[in-house]
Amino acid sequence: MPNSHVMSADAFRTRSQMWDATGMWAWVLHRITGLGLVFYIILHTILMAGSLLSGKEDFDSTLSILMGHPVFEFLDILLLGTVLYHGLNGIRILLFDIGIGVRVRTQKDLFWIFMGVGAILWFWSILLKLGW
Amino acid sequence: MCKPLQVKVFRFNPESDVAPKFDDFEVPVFDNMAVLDVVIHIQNYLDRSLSFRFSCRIGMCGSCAMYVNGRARLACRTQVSSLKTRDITIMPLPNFPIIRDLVVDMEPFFDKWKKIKPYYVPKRELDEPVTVQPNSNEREFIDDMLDCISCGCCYSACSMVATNKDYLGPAALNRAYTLIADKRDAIRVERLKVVDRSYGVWRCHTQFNCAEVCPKNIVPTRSIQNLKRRCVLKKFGIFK
Repeated sequence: MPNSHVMSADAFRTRSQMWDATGMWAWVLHRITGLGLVFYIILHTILMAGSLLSGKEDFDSTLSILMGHPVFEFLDILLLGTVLYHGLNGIRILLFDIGIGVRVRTQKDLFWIFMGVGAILWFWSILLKLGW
Repeated sequence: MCKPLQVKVFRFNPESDVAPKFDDFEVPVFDNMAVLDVVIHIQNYLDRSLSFRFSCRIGMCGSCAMYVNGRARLACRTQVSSLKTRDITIMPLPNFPIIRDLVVDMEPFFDKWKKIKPYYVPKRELDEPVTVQPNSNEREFIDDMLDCISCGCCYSACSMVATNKDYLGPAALNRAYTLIADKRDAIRVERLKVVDRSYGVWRCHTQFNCAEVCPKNIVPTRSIQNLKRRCVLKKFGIFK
């Protein structure tokens, strides 16, 4: 068989790197935000259920920490950004599934349009949160 | 006289080298110089042991695909001036086993190509030849996708191929679509069964890396999305 000596599983090969491609970054961020949201939901459920089960006082004190501490205010903003990114990029992917925007240029345009909308919504929400 | 190119070339001979390395070359520039001219110059005048493939020089054969400055490109169709730099790094196509220097083993690529049975199978029960009108939507869509020269650029750019050795890859799936969308083909359902697997169309995550690098401007992602829709239709018994 020709080239059989290089066909072994450990044959040297380089791996694809397309770090200048918009679609690649969109996918990487989609994965990261997706994992982040799963982690958040698990944490949220455990914390809420745990404090609810241990009584009214515990639940109230947990909520007062979560709603009042500046770190959690910041995490709230981060959570909203994550939800916005994952949701809007998810819509972009759904559009591909129904055959809309499946072109190199269009998929990039769609990405930046959705990111623009997301950024506006995010900053608007931050301003609302800060009471401006 | 323009400043010469500073070219870094990936070197590796599995029979004698323990690890790959890069060699540096200084190559004079001339008008309308392509990356293929650069490697030919190196082989002719600087290092005769440099190995690479090429044949037609006009972007038809697909044999001179290389990884040039961070992208898979056809060396013959990539003008040095289009790279907008004097520093050029040339590597073999990623995701392929390396035979030597810039020559990669295309066998994994064509093994997957074979899995989708890349040839037209006519329906035997027909008395009359079936015609597809040249101006029909179906024909126009397939026509674009038939331009594939199986150079392997898309396969090397796909990060799903990089992370899953069984994934069929953009080129094979694109070829499968051109046949599945052809109503004259006798084994369309059989072909659809091959691609309707986790290592088939469902592995594609619409990153468009394949389309970004395709030297023929094909968008394999489009074919793959169409295949996904047909797979869903098949589940509901609508695709026949």
